[in-house]
Amino acid sequence: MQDLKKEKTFWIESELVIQLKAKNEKALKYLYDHYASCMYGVALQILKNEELAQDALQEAFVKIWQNVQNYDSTKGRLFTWLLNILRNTAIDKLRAKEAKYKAENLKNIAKKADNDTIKQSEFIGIRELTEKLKSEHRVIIEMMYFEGYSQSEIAEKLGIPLGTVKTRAKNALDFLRNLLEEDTF
Amino acid sequence: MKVQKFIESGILSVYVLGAATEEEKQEVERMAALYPEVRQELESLQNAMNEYLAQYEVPVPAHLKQKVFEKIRNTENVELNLESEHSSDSRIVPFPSIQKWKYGLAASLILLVFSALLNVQLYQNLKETERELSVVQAQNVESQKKITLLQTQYQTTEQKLSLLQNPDYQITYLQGLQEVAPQSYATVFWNEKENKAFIFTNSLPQPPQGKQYQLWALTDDNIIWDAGVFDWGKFSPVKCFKKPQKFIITLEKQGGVPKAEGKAYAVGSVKS
Repeated sequence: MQDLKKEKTFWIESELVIQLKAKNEKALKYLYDHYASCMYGVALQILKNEELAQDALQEAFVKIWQNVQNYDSTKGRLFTWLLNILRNTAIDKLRAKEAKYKAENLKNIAKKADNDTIKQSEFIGIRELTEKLKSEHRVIIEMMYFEGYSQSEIAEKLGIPLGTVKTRAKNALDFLRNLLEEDTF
Repeated sequence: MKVQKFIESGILSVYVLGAATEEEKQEVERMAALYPEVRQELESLQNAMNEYLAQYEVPVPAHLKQKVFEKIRNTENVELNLESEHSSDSRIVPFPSIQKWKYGLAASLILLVFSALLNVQLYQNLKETERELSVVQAQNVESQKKITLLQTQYQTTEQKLSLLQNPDYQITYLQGLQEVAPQSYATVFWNEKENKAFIFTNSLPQPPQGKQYQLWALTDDNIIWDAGVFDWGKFSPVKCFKKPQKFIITLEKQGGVPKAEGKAYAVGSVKS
């Protein structure tokens, strides 16, 4: 129970899921060792605050542990499921954070958020891949995934028709997929 | 085509980017379950997004792991709500609830009954096995006896065969006398060179208790030599020092006599 060192064993995903559902704490440790840093990075990207991101990560892991019975491997990869929980937790925190400062000048917040993003990007050292994305693609991914805006909110903010939001989302992911495919060669 | 149009609409990307409405989510999941092309495209986009997100990887501060697992244990044990303020208090030592204790007791009793039944079953199996083993052991002893007997018989046969094959041995057949042992016979193997002799008979009647057959050799000078007693049914060595004319078997008292007293049972002339 005390041993929180990295386990050296390798688990294939199906095995890992079975062990998680059987409430094997070692499986959860394995999960943490392999996915926590990525989840933490995503939480930082969403919340732009280390403390909040750490809270989100903790809460996400508790939810993962408590809800692992609901994970259905036919609906997608375990990693996707983990990220969804993490993202939902982080977005909820983001909304709470935003509500707290609602009374304040929205413009200031937006400015501060932009600055945070730039700092964060430097800190993280975002790879070339992100830079290769067109700003149009980057914006849509940022707004949808990291800021959790709805399609209609995005349409309103960007001043484009609702249908175009879907098209842009599609273009963004298609472009991203192509980049990744090129990367592998 | 409907499926192609669905894929082209961008709804899958919106889903992957977490911006799908509740109806859209259900629609995507329904279509993915129905059409392999949809599912495949969804997975492909999802994988691309996962790979992209993996690039945001940031090392987690080391102390966080301990915190995360403490929190999980606390929520597990005390069954605290996620939002509870106490959930991060690591000093709480949870006392198992009565409910859990009841389940535990029930489970223990079930296990105990199951274990007892299993023991009875195993004990019966053991008894059965022991019984079978004793039977097999008895059979084994019997088989061993048979083997010993067969080995003796085999050795006897071997010896006889070797004597038959040895040209130095002269073979004399003794015929059972009409009055006492008709149709009986005995065989004497005599090796003049080595002064060795053997007798074998089991066709003479088995001697009664306290009695033994004795072999006599009658030489040309009409002297009767004591060739010794022998065991019925066994291939037995006898004594023969001079070339005999005749062999005679008499039934004498156990251990033999110096001069023949009993009835003659078989007589055979040695070929010259």
